[in-house]
Amino acid sequence: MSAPAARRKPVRAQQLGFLQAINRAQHEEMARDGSVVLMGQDLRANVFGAAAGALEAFGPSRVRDLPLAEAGSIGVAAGAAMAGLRPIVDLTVASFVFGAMDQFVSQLAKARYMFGGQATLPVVVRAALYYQGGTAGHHADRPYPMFMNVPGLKIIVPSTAPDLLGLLKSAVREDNPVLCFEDANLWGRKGRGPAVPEDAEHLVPLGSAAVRRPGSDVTIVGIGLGSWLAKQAAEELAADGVDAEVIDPRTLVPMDWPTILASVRRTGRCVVVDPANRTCSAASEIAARVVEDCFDALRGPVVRVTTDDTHVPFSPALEKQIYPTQAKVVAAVRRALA
Amino acid sequence: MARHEVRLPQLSMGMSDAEIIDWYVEDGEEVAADADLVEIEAEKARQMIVAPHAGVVRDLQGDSGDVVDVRGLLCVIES
Amino acid sequence: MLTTATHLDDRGQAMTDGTAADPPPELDGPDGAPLARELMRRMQRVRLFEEATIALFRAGELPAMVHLSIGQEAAVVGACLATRTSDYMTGNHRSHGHPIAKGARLDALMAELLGKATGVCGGKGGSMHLADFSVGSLGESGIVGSAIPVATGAGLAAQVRGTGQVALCFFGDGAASEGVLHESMNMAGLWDLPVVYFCENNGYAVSVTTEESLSVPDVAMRAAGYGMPGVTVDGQDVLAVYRATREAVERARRGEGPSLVEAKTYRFHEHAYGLVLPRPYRDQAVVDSWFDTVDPITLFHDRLLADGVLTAGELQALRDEVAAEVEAAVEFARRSPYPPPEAAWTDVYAPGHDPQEVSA
Repeated sequence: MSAPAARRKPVRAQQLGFLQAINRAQHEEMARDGSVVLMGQDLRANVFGAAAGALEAFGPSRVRDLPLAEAGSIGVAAGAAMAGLRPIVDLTVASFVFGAMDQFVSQLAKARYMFGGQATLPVVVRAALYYQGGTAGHHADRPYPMFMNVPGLKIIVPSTAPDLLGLLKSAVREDNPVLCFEDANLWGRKGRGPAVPEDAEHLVPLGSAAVRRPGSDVTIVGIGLGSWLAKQAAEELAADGVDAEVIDPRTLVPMDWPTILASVRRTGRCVVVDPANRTCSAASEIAARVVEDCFDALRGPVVRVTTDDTHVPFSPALEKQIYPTQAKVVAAVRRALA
Repeated sequence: MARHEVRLPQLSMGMSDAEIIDWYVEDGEEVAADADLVEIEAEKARQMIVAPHAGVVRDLQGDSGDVVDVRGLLCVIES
Repeated sequence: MLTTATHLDDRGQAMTDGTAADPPPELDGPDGAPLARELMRRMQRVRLFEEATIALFRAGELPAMVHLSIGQEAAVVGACLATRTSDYMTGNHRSHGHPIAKGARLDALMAELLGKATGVCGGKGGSMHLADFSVGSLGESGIVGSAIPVATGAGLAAQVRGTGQVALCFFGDGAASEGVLHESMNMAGLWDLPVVYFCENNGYAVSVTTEESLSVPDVAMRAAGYGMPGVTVDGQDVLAVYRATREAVERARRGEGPSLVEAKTYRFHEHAYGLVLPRPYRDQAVVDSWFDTVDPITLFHDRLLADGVLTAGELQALRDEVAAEVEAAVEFARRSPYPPPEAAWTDVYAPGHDPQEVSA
């Protein structure tokens, strides 16, 4: 190793990172409740970055590296929950949910209902959305809208580290299955948020949206990275005198309809930014509900900014154009205002 | 003389940027291939970026605490 | 260690206070008669419940089709009696026998089949999705193989929590081809989970024979691939099934891991009762002869008489007692009200959550 030239200690902002938030939520909840267990792939080696120290802290009975068996893993979590545990399953890549679809739908979502309320399923399934990063067709899906179509599941898509910490802790305490979709584009600086004191109990309730920027001319609802694009677009539009309100739903099921609908009633315009594929996206549901419930207040079309209905191409020359961008959000707002 | 751009590689899925922790070279310093250039921290871990070529280091981009995007320029090596 | 059976009351109803009682002892011991009576009582409960179901079906009173366990009673009962009431169990679409054999109340099961509010699932599950958590029944699955990981997870919970419970996982020969069986048995073998995988191999997945669907002659052979013992037993011999399953349950309870028990059995009726298939796939004359040759209740009945364990009078009294219980269950189900319309929207989520949006 050559002698380091610079030796200044970097001054780092006291901020909470995305993966730190996950790790902290898991640690705090496992320490609080002995029935919480963590199961996932490559936890011991912490390959996915959110399980540092878990094995050492809680032991191999409560921290289990799963064999590669997505369907089995989700079903095992469902059964373990029915028999008294509160499993957190790290499914790692959101595209891996498809191999477990029957267990998600037929067991996790339906058991409570089919058995007349006898089953309780406190299961948290975590899965990261790895789009924009050259992972291509089999690793870049954003499949949360499919699960919005399945009653019995709750769905969170946090977009800041403090929200992730607070929502994940609430999810672990839920007596319902919660799917946590983590936008991996927020692993870097974007997803960081204000530090939360170590001794603070930071809980964010499910079903509560956050107003990221108050405004009066148009409501932009942004999901995951979409909330950041919405905020950037709002700042760009402010220079032209357009005052946009930015709402991050944070939870998709149950959706905080009162906050979204009240905002649209005030602004009369609505744009929804959703990284999911366009058809039957979360944006589609929000748009439909806004039109149904705010038709009289609307003064322009409700516009969706989504990923186009295509698969994720590998080449960097192809990939990024299919997703929502700041420019697309700005254009959508202009259309809504026209 | 060849100019080699050293860019921040994507070291894991989900990595979009990294923070510069410390430079281990100065402008104009001659380095061997595989010499330590800069320590960076992405969300998962700290890692050392090493010289892909032997040569003279030029155009260091950013300082400790600065954030570089994946595939963003870190420095140039002239050989 | 085995103790005398104390986990059933004198009506054959399981005690639901979760008290752990070991299965009864061997038939040839001093306590043989109580065991014989219990095995026979439970088989009769399954048989007479199913026959009552046929009558309701024929009368047009059943809101749906049913998959009957008639012919498979020895497999179902032999396996269930080897577990404690507090042990867990999952099953499949051929569902009635499992909770009955585990000790569930017949009236709530029958009411469920009729879609009544008093049904064990409040009328929301129906024939294919029975569950009675009070006797460890974590649910039957209408999707073939889908509950196999659930039983495996219940075993994991028992292990992590150190409760000493065992999970009994029923599946059929059709489910033996499902991927989740592989995933589940691998995890159970890997982690030494207290799970007993119990295959009711009745020879047919609807119309497809095991010879046409399985790569090995016995499902039990698959056990070797997961580092667990596998055994094939005569599924018409209730005592053989009971002994094999009890050994597997005891092994699981000792912390030595899972087992696979395969009972070769016979489905006397069609896949779903009354189902008419355009082309026959089995010889009806042969199927009809099964009632005379391999009926598990007749076989056990004759054996008990021959061995002098129970008298003809005792066996008849036992049957009459169960028949009265079934009759009362049918009357209870008929008399019970349907659930109120608003029940369709409850139990989607745990209590304390806002109801979902309803279309106008």
